[in-house]
Amino acid sequence: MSTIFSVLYIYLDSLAFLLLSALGLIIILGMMGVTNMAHGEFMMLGAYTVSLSCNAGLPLAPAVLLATATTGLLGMATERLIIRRFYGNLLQSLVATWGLSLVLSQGMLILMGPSLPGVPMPLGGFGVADKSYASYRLLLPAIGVGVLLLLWVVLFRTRAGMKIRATMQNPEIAQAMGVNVKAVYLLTFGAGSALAGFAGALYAPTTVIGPLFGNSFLAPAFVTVVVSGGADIILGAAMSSGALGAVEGSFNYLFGSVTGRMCLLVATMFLLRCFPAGLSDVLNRRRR
Amino acid sequence: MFFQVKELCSGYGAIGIVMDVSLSVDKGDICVILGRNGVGKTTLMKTLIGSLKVRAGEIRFEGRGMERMPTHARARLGIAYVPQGRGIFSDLTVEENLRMGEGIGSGKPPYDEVFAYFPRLRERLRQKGGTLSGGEQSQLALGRALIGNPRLALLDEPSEGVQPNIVDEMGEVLARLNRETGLTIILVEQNIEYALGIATTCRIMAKGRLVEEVGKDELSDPETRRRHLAI
Ligand SMILES: Nc1ncnc2c1ncn2[C@@H]1O[C@H](COP(=O)(O)OP(=O)(O)O)[C@@H](O)[C@H]1O
Ligand SMILES: [Mg+2]
Repeated sequence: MSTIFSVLYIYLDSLAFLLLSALGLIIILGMMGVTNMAHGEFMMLGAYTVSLSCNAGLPLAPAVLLATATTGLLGMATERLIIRRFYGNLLQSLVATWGLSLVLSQGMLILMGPSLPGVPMPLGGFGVADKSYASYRLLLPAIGVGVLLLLWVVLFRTRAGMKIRATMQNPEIAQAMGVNVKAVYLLTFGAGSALAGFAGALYAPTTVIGPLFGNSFLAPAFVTVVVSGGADIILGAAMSSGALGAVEGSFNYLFGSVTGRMCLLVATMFLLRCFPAGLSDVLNRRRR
Repeated sequence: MFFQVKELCSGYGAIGIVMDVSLSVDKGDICVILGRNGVGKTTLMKTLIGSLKVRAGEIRFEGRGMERMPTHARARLGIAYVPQGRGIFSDLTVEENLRMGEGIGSGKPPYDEVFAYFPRLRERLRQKGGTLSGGEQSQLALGRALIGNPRLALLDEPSEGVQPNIVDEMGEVLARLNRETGLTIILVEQNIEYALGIATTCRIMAKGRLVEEVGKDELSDPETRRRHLAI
């Protein structure tokens, strides 16, 4: 019983980590096709906002919302000034966003030093068969799945979501249907950045907050989105975080977190070898 | 004048394609533009809707200068565009494709009328656009344009790759719409028979320029037709 619970706990923790770090990138890479190397830095900015505002006395929940709004606005500014020039150009956008990520992390190092005060983890803990667990760690996967469902509703059940999907598929025609495509790109990139900031904010209480905060999230985020594939980004994200979380979680449980992370990357290579267009593509083909 | 183009120039990069095109279309006209492959018909249509920048010249819709307006603003004035190749959103359902058309023009979207014209669309509402046959996609593209209650329709070879009986059907729909709602149409075609069948005026395009207005009867003469269109 206690073993089952601790395996499940580790699994949910891995799943949440993959899913939440991928949230913004699902939109920015999965839908918009922008290889955003600064994704981790947007998460870092979210964590910074939480650290600064919590330590100024704001409770965690409003601080997370503030971080989401802040990174959303910064994302829109980034789209306007940088990203807009590089749509459809993979290499240029890769280099540009990589540059941006260096500027953001080094800039923060200069501005705020090597680390920020931490944020205490809320909700306390509980014990199962004389092992103790953090409740917050169980809240995170629930939030991840909840936000993913919300994203699905927005994209597939609202008029705005329909316009976004149409624009990503064929901007020229969407424009001829009265859609202000530039505004859609601006807001969509802003939403992706806001989700990155949101995820960073949620992980602020779990780890050290410094300029390189985003580094540990970048690879898992990319891995999750790439394994998901573009055929159905929502279901794909659920499938890939579910599958990769199982791999990482179980190896993490058996051999520790370094082995877990290594096995995550091995599993990624294996899955991409078998399903080069991603897991959601497999499902989509079966449906036809 | 309802829709007027004056000395319009446009192209791709450094290459000029459309040159000094002037065109006047009255309300309720069906203006057919004919021409060989590669003379710049599609380029002209893209410039009219705004996908391509105007280099010089004017586009006026109901007296309003449009040449600097972004595409979406032109669409919202009630100009529908059916691109060559149909431009269906293949991952969106048929229903969603139609709903996208509501962004053109204003007023209540005429779903019942569109389903009356194209009953097949109603049967396929939940299907993804990309799974339709060529003829169905053409009907969807036209239906989607009509959902927006357009006052001017720019149609770029809607009959391309469509089987003959559906082409006839589409021709009838266009003629009826024109008669019943006064829809003004600029129609680019290679399929001369049906285009001339519904045209009120006819222009020939050659090397990026619109040459003289040709009477419909002149084009029934095989010699004239061959000279203009190499058919
Ligand atoms: N995207 C493009 N970039 C550069 N040249 C193009 C492009 N599209 C078309 N052209 C060129 O413009 C000319 C006119 O093309 P188009 O307007 O498509 O002709 P039509 O529709 O009359 O067949 C052709 O010579 C074609 O090669
Ligand atoms: Mg053409």
